[in-house]
Amino acid sequence: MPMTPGADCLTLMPMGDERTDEELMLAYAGGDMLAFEMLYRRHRGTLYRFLLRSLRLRADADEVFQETWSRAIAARARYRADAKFTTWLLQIAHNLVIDRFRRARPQASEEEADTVFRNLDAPEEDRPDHVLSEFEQRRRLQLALEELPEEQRVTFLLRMENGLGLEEISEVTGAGRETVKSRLRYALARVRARFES
Amino acid sequence: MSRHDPERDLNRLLDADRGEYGALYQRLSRTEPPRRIDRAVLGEASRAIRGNHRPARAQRWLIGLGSAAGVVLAAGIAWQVGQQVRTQQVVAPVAEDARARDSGFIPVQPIIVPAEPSSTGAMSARIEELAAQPGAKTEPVVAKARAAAPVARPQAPPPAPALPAPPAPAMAREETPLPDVRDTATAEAFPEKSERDDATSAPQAKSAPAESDMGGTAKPSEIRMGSERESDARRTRAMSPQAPSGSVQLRNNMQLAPEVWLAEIVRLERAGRRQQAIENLRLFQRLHPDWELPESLRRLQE
Repeated sequence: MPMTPGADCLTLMPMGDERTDEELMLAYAGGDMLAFEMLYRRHRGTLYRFLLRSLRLRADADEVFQETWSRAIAARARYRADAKFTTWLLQIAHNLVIDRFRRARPQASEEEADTVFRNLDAPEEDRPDHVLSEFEQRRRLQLALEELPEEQRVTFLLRMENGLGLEEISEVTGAGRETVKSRLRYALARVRARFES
Repeated sequence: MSRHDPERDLNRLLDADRGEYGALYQRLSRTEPPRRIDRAVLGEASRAIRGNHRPARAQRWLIGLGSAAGVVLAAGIAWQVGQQVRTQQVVAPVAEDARARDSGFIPVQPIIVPAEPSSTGAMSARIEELAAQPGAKTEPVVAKARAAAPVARPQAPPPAPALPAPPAPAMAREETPLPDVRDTATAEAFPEKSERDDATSAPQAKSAPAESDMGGTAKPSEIRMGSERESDARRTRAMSPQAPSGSVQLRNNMQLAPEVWLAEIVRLERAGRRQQAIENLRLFQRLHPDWELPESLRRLQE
């Protein structure tokens, strides 16, 4: 059932559509609104959480989320099926996030992470995740994510939230494969440091 | 005491379960976008495909058709206006004169490009010859054209009703007070005579210019009508704040071929109507600035 513009996406009955993201996007570019609704349902949550955790402010996340979809809609005619839809959508979102970072403040240096690595040698048995409550663990992970330098945070989130592999993260962010690996290592070290502090 | 291996941690992160923090991350709050944003995005997507899916072609087609129709319409209007202007110029110069008098401007006449003005000497001789001919004042060019092509054309409107003569323009009035010797008596009896002639005898001026403008004496009937016409003329002057253009004589001369007009100027000068000749010459030079004047007229200019 196609949605009218004023309708709420969440009131829709679940739509069983076997089509891939790419097929849905092409169908939407051809005028199939139902295909877009399906596509939106599939990706709205992960995209929103990626943006919210990257930008940390709900207002910013709302704005960039809407802008991302807006650009995807505007560029539907240029979409080619050989590009994976998730990667394409996240590329748009990532570019907007980076723009937002640049406007907000200068990039944090990665030297801080080296210090974190040096102080990371804690005994396995003393790892706090063994002793902290579930609530506390989630709170600490949340804080750790927020404290990550922007590029590390985005890279880490693309892996954790969106499930992208090294190649895909590299494609989305425009960074080299080794750079992506390095950022992930630093991010992990910082998260661990937060848990062990 | 075990130390963490960053490479091993990275490999675990890249595993399907995303390592030791993967499960914890999945338990973080599953925040969703606000519903208002859902509505906004879906609305935009819907508008986008409704806005330019297929109708884009139709819109382009409509724009093209509209543009073509506009061009055709503009061309049609321009053609119609051009036809009307031509018809008015050829068929109703008298009516145009009357309108022009009413609106207080001299109608713009097409400047007749002289056929390669010949040398000054030859031109002077030609002008002298024309000036010497009795009744040399020929028909205006437009009148000639009318006579040459009497094909069924709409009839010219009847001559304008005998409107009281509009006052002469300020410049002309300043210069005209020098009366022709032969006109003195008439001018004394009817100070408004020349102005009356302008309006009331426009058609007659062409057929009998000698009587109206060329110094003919007043007839008794005109003298009887004098005071009445004079009061009419005064009334008209009082009603029109601006003085209209010069005399009908001057306007008629404007329509003459350049060499014929120059001959007329020479004739006016010889007839002792120097002021009138000067006025004609000034107007001639405005309309034909490139025309080389014969020596006799250059002297008049000075």
